[in-house]
Amino acid sequence: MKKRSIMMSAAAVLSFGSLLASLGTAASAHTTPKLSGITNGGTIVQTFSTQFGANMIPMLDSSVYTQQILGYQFDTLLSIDQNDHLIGDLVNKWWYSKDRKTIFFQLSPKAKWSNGKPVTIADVKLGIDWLASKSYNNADQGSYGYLVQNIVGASNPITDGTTPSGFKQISNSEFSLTMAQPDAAVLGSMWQGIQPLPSFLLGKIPMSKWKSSQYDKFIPVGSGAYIMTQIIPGQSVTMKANPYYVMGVPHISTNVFKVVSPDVVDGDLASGQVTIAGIQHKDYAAMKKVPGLNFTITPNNAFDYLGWRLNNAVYGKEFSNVKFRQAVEYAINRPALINALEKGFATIENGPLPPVNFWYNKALNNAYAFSPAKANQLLDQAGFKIKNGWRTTPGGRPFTPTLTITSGDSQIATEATFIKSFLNAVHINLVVNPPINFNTVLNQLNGDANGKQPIQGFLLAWNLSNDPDPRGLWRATDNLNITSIDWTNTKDPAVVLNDKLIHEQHTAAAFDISYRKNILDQWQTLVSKNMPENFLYDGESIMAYSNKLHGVVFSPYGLLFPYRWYLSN
Amino acid sequence: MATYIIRRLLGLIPTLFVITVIGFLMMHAMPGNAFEALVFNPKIKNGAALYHRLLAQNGLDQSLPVQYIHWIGNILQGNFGISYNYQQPVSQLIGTYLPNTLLLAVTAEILILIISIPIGLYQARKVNGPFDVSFSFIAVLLYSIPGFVFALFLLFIFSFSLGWLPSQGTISASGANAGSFLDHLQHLLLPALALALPSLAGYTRLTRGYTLQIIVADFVRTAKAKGLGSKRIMFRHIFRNAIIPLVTQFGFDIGGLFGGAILIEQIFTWPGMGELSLNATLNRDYPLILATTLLFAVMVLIGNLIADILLAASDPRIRLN
Repeated sequence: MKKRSIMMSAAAVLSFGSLLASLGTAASAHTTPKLSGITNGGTIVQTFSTQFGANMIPMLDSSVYTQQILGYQFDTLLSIDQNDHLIGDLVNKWWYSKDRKTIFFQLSPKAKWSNGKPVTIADVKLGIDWLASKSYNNADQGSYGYLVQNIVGASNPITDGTTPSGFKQISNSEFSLTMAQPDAAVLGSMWQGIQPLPSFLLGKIPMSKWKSSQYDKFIPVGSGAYIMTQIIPGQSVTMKANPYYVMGVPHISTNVFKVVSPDVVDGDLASGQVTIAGIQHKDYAAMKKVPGLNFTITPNNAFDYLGWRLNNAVYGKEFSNVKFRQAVEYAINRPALINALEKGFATIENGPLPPVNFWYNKALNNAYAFSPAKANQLLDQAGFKIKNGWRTTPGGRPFTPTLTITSGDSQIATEATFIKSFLNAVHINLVVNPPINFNTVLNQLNGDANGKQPIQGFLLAWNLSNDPDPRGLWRATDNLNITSIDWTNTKDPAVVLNDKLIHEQHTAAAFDISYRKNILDQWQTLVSKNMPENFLYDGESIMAYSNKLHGVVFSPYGLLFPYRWYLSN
Repeated sequence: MATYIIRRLLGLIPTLFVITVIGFLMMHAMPGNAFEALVFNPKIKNGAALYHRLLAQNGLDQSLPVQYIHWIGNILQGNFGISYNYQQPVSQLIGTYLPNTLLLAVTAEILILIISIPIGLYQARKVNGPFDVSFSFIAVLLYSIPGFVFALFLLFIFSFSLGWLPSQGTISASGANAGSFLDHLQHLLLPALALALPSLAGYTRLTRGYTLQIIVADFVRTAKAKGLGSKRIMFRHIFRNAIIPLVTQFGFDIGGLFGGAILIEQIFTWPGMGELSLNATLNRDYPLILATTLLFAVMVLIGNLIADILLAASDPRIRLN
């Protein structure tokens, strides 16, 4: 799958919801053609473009690929379907208390480990205890500790082996989780992703020793569709179908994940060494001529954007003028950009959620159509006067904002050149800086509390989780907002309204989907109008796969339901 | 000879020290660090606090001299630290990845020597003949094409088109043949060839050139005048002398092949030191960067040492001096 280096990808922002989805959930969705008779058996080979991490205790490794492997091996309490709706998994029933603070769960009677033992409440408890523990959060980075932080008693890391007071066992198959305040986003964005862990295996080892235990290198049981049977470090993981899988025994018997350089993945697909993999847009036309391959194009739950440091010491005042940012949005010919850069495989993005997202506000579809005239009009209104062909600041200073781009991806340099020419056309003298390393960009953003870092405009992208909850990224107090665009001025009525709507979308009333959708629509409209960053487009992924592979559901959240896939002869 | 080797080994210590200091300083001069991306994870409740905690846990909040002294102290005790990215002891990682690179580099060297030297000798014997002229052209062609281009060509022909050899990894993940000697060999052949081909051309040219220089030497003429057989002259007198500069080159190339393997390892998904060091640098994985830098430096220095020792062994004048 295409990974732009500008994506604050993997380690940066890919949230757990989308990870889980990529393991087996669904979407807007395409499905490979089905045959009348389903054959069992066979081997499929999937790919990783870089190495996977070596820690196989769930949630321990920061590698997105390791999480993908473990997502095949360890199912979660709930999954999401292709419409981004929660569906049962190891838990087959769930319901809320009247005050919406407690959610009750019932484990599926079919939920079993791959050795035939039932998945128990003790296993669920161990999964929660692990994510809440001091060992996990203090010593092992604890990237997924957020999944349980809303459980009462787990807001801060707790002593290893103790259970948050918000967890209650009701019977041998039922348990409940309680939060301090009703939160409509908690189940979809957090608790559904909790993975029960095998207490008969890991429960005997102190959590502080998990990382040094044999199971961190190879874990022989799981509750997911496939269980690892062989790991070749840095190269491949071979997994066999779980005969006790909760959803039924997978049709395909062997599932291999191989690390394959993106440079050669096309050849591997053509020669049959790889069954299914993402390909680059530029290769699509050539690959379509290869016999035996099918293709699916799926929008990503992600978007590219042009950010401005609103606190910048040189031009922060100008960037903070909403008319400047709106003018930039009108000035950029995004259809042309998509055709040039993405060969047409992208959708214009006008707000903080991509059009493919279930929660997207369709009213934004036609906002900001390319119009240099409107851009000029807005810049004139904002006081950016033209002098010697170039605009000055409203105060009369030369206005030469810079654009920072990351190295290692020629497409970003091309994109920057396009944006420069579009802005030059409305008399903004944008200067594209030489590319710098991605870590340097992060470093400049992270250290820019006083606005004195050289970074002014920048091109980045966000991957989003399946739940639209804007917290973490968009509130005025969110670290990510502060360190990226700095849309944090609480004297700005738009920022105040933004925070109010973000709060409202997770209150008790927002448990009603239509209410939450309405609030999120208002929020998207607000953000689109204020354009705190210039939204560009939502890219699409092209997956190529053998025409012998059937039953795969492609979605913005990944390839779904691997247990339903099958191979024809 | 023993004194010579000991003297050279002791001479490596200050060189290595300077390399560690330069490597350490350059690494810290790069902006960002391994944990900075955590701040950009919207789901982490207090990313900044976690970031500072991890900096402290890993000693990165201390001054550079203190960090350096700690690192050197640990290295002297055989402790290379824990990789930030892989969350594994660095020594364990190197133990996994180094053998793969060694296997690749040694196989490539063997291929280079067993192919290029006979060809170079034959070209010199039949100088300006059809074989010499045509292979000289081929050698220049091979020499001017980078290894990664060969890699792609080889993959296209032998893996993607003919389907004879696998395109990635050191062994198969599944199948009856997986893990066998033949399986290893099949995976090794293409990357080793891709690594060897450009050097192979160079070695052929060197062998040919040095042999031609020796062929016209006085002692060769004397040997011929004494009525010695042509094979004996070629292998006893010409080859032994012509090989001296090749042996030196061979030593230098050991370190060079390690560096050259980085791209080849990437293309063939060969889990070796090249891939490890590249990932370490991109992820600002300080313990791994330092360990791999040190290892590469040691390899180059050992290569040079081997070259010197072989040279000394084959030319007594080196020892005397």
